[in-house]
Amino acid sequence: MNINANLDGNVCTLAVDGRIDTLTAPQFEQTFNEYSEKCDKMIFDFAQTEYISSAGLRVIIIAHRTMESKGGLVIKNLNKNVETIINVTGFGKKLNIEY
Amino acid sequence: MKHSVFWKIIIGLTIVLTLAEAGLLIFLYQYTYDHTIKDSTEDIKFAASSSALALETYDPDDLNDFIGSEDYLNDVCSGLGITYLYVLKPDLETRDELYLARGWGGNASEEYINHRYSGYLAKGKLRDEQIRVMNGEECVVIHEKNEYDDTLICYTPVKKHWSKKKQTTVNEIKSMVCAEISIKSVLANFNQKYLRLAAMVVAATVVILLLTGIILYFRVSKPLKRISGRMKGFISRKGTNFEKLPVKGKDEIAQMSDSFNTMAEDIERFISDLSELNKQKAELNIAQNIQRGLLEKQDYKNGDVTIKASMMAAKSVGGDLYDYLLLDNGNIFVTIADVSGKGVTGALFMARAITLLHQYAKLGYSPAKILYEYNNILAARNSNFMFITTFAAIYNPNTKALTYANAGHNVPYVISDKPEMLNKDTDTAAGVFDDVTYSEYEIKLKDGDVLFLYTDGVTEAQNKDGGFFGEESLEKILLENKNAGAQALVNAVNDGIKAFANGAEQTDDITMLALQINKNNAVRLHLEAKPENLEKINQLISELNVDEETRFNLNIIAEEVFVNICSYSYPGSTGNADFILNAEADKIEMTFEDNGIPFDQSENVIEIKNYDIDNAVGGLGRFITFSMADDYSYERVNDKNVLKIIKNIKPTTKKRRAENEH
Repeated sequence: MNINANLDGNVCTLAVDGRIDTLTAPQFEQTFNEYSEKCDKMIFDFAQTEYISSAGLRVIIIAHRTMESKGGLVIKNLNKNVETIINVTGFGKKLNIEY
Repeated sequence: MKHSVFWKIIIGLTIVLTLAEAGLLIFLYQYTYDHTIKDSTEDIKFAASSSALALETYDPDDLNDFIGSEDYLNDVCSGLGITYLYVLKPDLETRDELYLARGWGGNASEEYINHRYSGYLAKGKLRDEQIRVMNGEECVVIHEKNEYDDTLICYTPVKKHWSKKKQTTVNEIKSMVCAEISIKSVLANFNQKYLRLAAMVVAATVVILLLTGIILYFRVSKPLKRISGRMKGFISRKGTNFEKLPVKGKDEIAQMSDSFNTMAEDIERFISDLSELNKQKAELNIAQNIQRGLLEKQDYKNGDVTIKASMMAAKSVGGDLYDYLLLDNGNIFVTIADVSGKGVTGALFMARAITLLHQYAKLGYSPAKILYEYNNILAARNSNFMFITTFAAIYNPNTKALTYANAGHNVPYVISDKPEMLNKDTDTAAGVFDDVTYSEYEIKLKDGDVLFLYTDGVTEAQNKDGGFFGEESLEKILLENKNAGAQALVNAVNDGIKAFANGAEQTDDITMLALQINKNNAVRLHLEAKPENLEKINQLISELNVDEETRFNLNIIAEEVFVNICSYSYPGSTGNADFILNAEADKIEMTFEDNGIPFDQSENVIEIKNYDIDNAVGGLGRFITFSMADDYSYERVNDKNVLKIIKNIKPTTKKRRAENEH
């Protein structure tokens, strides 16, 4: 997994390339924590994210709660499989997802 | 009453008897009358002709002379029963007739007797018949019938006469004799008798009818009514004791009463037999339910074997049994047996047998030891001397070895390239002699092989002509279906038997069990239980020939389950986990095994539908796993957690398009 981070003013964009699974989720979480302090609004770009497991979902939820009190979290460019997982859990209704 | 046979007979009899009597009486009267006429005709003819001869000595021209003949005429009348006898001298031209002399009999009228006829001239009274007589006709008879009288008259010529003048006999017809009989008078006596006879006949008829009626009523009608009354109430009065009908004499009514009594007794016996039979049937049903309830399900499948069993029970309870059991060490125990007896006794014996086999198998005994112990227990308490042929086998999926022992049972087949019997040296059937040593044999099986167990109900199934299904037909079906799988194989044999029997009644249980060794494509990874090894699992999944979505789901399921094993199965220590991937045509089977603490991941899965991080995150992975799985099962076997998850494979895109085009 590679994460491409981009800081534009107070908006951060984390573009994840590859799998977010049990093994890579900690790295994703760490990157998020690093950038969440630097910006008000967070964007997860999952265009290149082919896989996400519950470990990855956990990071998304932590990110969502962290950003709630600030500018919020936006998730965009979900591929179909990842979107299905998010919807199965019912999180889809709560998360701010851009299509 | 109108419809009573009794009255029909009485009325019919009255009509027939009356008609017969009337006919008889009419015939009798007619016959008598005809005879009277005939006899009287003879009489008057004789009277007239004899008188005519006697009168030839008188002169018709001398009236005084002729009067002398009246005494003679009276004698003839009373002698022959003639009513009137008189002599006339007709004048053919004037048609007058002169009475010359006369006589009379007993029936003559007062008027005739008192009238002085001699010399009386009856003018113009001459009849044509009399003229014919005067012309020489011998005798003319007239029957005169009118409302006053019924008379026979005979005219006869007096062919010669004495001539006083000539003092000689002249051959000339000058007078004639007339004889009359009053039939009414002749019949008077008869009529009186006839009336008396008719009255007697009528009286006799009435008496006969009365007697017939009384006999009919008391000997036929009344007993019949009694029988019919008894018949009508026979079932409704059931419960009270049946009262027999009296049987008097030996006539049909008595026979009927007797038959009715016999029939009633038969029916009573039949009814009581029937309720007894129902009781027996109910008992049989209970026994049948117990027997069926003891049998395992007919279908079983795990990764190693597929089992299909079948039992077509005969009408009465048979004593067949089959059983199978997945043993703790992963081995599979199969058995089939046939009790010598039938009915409830057989079923109860079967119940003991199946329990013992199951328990000894569970204890981990080898087939020979199972049969040894089982036989000893059965033989120890078997006062009925029933025996049970039994085949027992254990299949080890790791070595693919089948160990078996046979207590006198039909030798099973192993179907590989073709059906071949196992070792034919069978030992003694169980249940009769104790301490029998059973030989144990081993055979290696291959993937796809089928072990086929059956009872003699299969080979000895009969058709209506009494022919047996036989081993040859069985082997033929087994050969034809060798690659069809356990289920289709058993069904094919059942169908074959049904087709052969063709409706003939089944006399024995027909029982089969097929154990098929599954063709195994499974790949097993033996891993240390740490998340880093996920990559090896992912590698294996990535090699599967499935669509992306399925692969994605399999990845997630495998990750979540494996990570949970790593996190929770070995608290405070480390251990191993096995991942077994088995790809079939329509589904992927993933099995996870670990030696950790008991942990059923499929238990208490929380449904996560609401955004509630604090409470839900812990079960998130498990929720996702079991939402995606099409089927799953957890077992704790030999201190191992065994979780099996099945994901069905969707038809490929290409195939789906093809379906849409239809």
